[in-house]
Amino acid sequence: MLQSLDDTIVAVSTGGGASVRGIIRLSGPRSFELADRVYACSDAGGPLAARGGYCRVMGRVTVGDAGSLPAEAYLFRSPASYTRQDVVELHTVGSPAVLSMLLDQLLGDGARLAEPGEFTARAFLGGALDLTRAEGVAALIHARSDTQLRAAQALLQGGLSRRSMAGRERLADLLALIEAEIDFAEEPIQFVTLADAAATLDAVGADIEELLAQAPSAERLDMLPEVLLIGRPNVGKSTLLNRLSGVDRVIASAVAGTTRDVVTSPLMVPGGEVLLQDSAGLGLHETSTASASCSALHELHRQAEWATRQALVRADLVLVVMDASAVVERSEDVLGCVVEPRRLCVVLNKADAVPKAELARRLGEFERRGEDALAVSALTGEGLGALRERIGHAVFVESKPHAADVLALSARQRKALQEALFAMRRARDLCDTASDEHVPTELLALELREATHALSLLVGEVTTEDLLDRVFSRFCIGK
Amino acid sequence: MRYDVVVVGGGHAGAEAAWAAARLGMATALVTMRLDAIGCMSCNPAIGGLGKGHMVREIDALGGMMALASDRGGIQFRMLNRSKGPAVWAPRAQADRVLYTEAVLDLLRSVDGLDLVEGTVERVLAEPVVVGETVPGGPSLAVRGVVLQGGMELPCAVAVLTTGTFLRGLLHCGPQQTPGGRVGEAAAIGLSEDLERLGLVLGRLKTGTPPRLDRETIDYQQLVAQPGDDPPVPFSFLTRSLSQPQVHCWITHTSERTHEIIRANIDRAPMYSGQIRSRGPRYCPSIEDKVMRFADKSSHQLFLEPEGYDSPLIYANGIPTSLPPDVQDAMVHSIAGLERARIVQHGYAVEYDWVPTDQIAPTLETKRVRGLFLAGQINGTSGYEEAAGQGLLAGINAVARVRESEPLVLGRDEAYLGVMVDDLVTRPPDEPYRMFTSRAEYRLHLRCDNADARLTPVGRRIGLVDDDRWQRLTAKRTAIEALEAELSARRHQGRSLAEWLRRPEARIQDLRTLDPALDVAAIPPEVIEAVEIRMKYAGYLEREQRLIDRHRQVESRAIPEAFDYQGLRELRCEAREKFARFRPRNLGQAARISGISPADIATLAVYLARPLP
Repeated sequence: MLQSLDDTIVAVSTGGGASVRGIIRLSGPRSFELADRVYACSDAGGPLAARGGYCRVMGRVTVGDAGSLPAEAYLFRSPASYTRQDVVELHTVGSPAVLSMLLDQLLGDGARLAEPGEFTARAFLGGALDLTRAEGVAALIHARSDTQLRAAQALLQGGLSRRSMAGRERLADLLALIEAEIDFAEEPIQFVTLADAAATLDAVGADIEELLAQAPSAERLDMLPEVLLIGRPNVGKSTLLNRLSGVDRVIASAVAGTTRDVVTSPLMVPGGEVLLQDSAGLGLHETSTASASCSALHELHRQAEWATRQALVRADLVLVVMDASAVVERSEDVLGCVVEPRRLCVVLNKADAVPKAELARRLGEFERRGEDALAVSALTGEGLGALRERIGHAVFVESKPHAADVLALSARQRKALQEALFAMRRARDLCDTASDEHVPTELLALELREATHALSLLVGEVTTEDLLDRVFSRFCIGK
Repeated sequence: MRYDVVVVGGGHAGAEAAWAAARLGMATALVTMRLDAIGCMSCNPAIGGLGKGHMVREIDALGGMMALASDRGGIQFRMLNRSKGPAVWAPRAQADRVLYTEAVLDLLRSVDGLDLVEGTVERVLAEPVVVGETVPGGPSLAVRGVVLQGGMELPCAVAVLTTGTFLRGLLHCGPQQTPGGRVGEAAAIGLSEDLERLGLVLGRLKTGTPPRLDRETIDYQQLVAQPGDDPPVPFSFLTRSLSQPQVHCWITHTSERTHEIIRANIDRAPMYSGQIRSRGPRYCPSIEDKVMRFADKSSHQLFLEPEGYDSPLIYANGIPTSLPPDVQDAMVHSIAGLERARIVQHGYAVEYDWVPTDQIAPTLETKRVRGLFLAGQINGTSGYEEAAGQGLLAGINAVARVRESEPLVLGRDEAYLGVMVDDLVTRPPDEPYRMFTSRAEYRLHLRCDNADARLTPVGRRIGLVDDDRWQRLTAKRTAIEALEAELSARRHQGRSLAEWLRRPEARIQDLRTLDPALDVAAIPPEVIEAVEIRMKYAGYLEREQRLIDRHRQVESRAIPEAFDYQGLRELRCEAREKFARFRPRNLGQAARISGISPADIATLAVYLARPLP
């Protein structure tokens, strides 16, 4: 359904592999007001809503209880914007976790997630795009919906689908029976008792609550499997990333701590595409005493590390990069935490600087400890083919069942589950208010319709025909 | 004589269509095979029920006739679902077949400019639309008259076909097959062939009816009586009260023995022998179907419904069947109270032609033939009320076609009538379509009590609502506003009486205990009821209203009638084909066509923003 142009829509446009930044974009009449809820300007110019367009405002985004992060707001006032509406772009760190939290907040405050291609469609409908480009816009909408459809389908193969489908089935059955109570009032059949309805609502409600509690907050829809490069400063992570991706997108430098945030790059490996992420050096702030006087720099280090920690939790594969020519450590000492062995691979870089026999001995040590390890040289390219093979195998072969089991919900799906849950709670309350003389059956139906409609995003719409089928297949209707 | 409108068929659809067209000033003819069968109830002698009763109220609010005839012909009135919320209360009545038919005939005869003609229409005369006036997907033919059996020609601008079960009707009673539209009446064969000649595609549907019993041969001692309501609530907003005596219906049940008889003879049932292959309604299965499909049920309920005050017949509601007569006799005799019952007319099934509804516009006019409107079972619906509703709309839109004025298409948020037509034109039914309240998205708004507020202004604008009906609505509206203002103004313990009324158990007459100065004795009960409903539902109505607002935004995105889908390369083939076939009027309707995805709609919206090259 094409939604209203009067809604304020929001979408994340991370640069994917192309950028350090994560961008949250809002379009619609409430863009400025909604952005103000998550944004604090650094200057004294008042809230964003009080400002004009075509300017940049430095400030910080508030990320729930997690604190705030430096950010920039780009303001565009209607009609001088891409969509011809009020548009706000919030640029901040590219961490999916951060962006996902911001998104959740904005959705909670009344923004709506943009449909595939909706920004472009608005630009077109608003007259910002040449009318001759209709074909291109239509093509874009299709391409974007196909992508989302594929991503959603992939997601639905996991436990989320099984569990929300089971909940949807029970709700649809209950709704069918309640509709039957209304429409087949003359049949000598009690289709459902209030006690049964309440019990079903309790059971399905508890299940959905659990589903919500288990859902990690990161936005995973639209995302490639993530491979994180992690290691002590100066072991050559950035050089390795550049070598693997063939793009010079990280400033590789011999000065420790050059890389601040998680930097991503798409990478083709046997089996498919992954997102390779470089990270800032872990534990950097503890050792860099020189920066203690400069609190701003210290803060920056802290943020970078926080982003890395988030990425560590989320990654499908963690590559612990070590300097083969230095003292070899245990991977948990480098990471500061234990990562399951199946998500872990040690990469001994600078293999060209160590004699072959010594290298073999060091690799053997990891093997004895049960850790996967291989040697490469980012400088000469030695071992990189094997590393690609290893990444592809780990992400697309070994970790497949694991990935499918992760109940990773996108913001959209979480919102759908929440809406369903609220409607079910209201329905549950109605069960308690009923008396022998009066049962608010039609209101119960209204709430259940809302609940099943919310879940339809995950598991498909429940149509009237579907409801009638459920009744006719179970009950003998018709006097 | 040349007519503006010729209505073909005198059933519930035809009667409403003729009533509306003639009352709107058209020179109208109603052509029917038998004048004495106008308004005939071919199946059960009852009007209303869930969804259906809602539509009867809507027909009344628009200025139609079904509610008036029901109030005159009714012999038992009940309001269903009283224990549930008022949005799903629905009136239902048993009717005296003779009184009902007389009422319909009386009403039709009271209208000027309406000729009742006995005859069988064999052909629809249509001529090609002038070249240069044709548009993509538009009509290629235009009606100019109808031809009766025997060759008489009735020239007309518009024809409304309400053929019921008569188009190539075939009656089944056991292995015996008889061409006919109804028991004892001939089928219409020529017209079916003629519609195909005009390029319409026909489908086949089936329905059935139970045996009628001699009321003197029933043992009422064994039956449970079901009385009407006291006091009875009328259908029409014009009827102040009902004074006729009410009769009982009677309840009994089939027995294990009944089911044994059916199972032993199932190979002689046309539905099971392969003699009937077309689809019947699942909500009205034959007794053989009930027994075979629900083998674990040891008994099924029957309502024995009197066909009238003086009628010797009892309608055995609950056992529609096409089993052979000897099996029907044995089966009926195995039912408590019917051991010695005599079947006066055996049950039978009827198969008939219909026109799948991707071929009609939401005005009920065929897309192919300008001026040809279809209403009732020819559109795949079942039920008197569904037929009457379409008849009324077809009559109104027939007039709009003659006058070249704006047609009436009701929204899903305005009326069950709107839901029905929208369902038909976006998803052609695969079984006879019956209204259920679950089909309506905005059920709390589409109530029986407010049908007048929703639709009488529409009927007034069209010209079907006379001064009397209009004054009643305005008076009711004023009284509702006055009472609501008073309840909001009067306070008790710092809260208005309106707030007190929101408590689940509170009623307006009880509010006097809070404020003795409140005097509602002189206020009509329908006003009290309306105010209670509006205030108690207030929060929910607001929620539903927000959904309606969204719905209307999408519905307001009109698609030009002549929109050409062929050049839209970015639309999926299936979407392009469906849009071209269904020709939706707006984006909302387009979205409801089965198999259409949100991306198809977004894509279409983009193309709509741009005039095509």
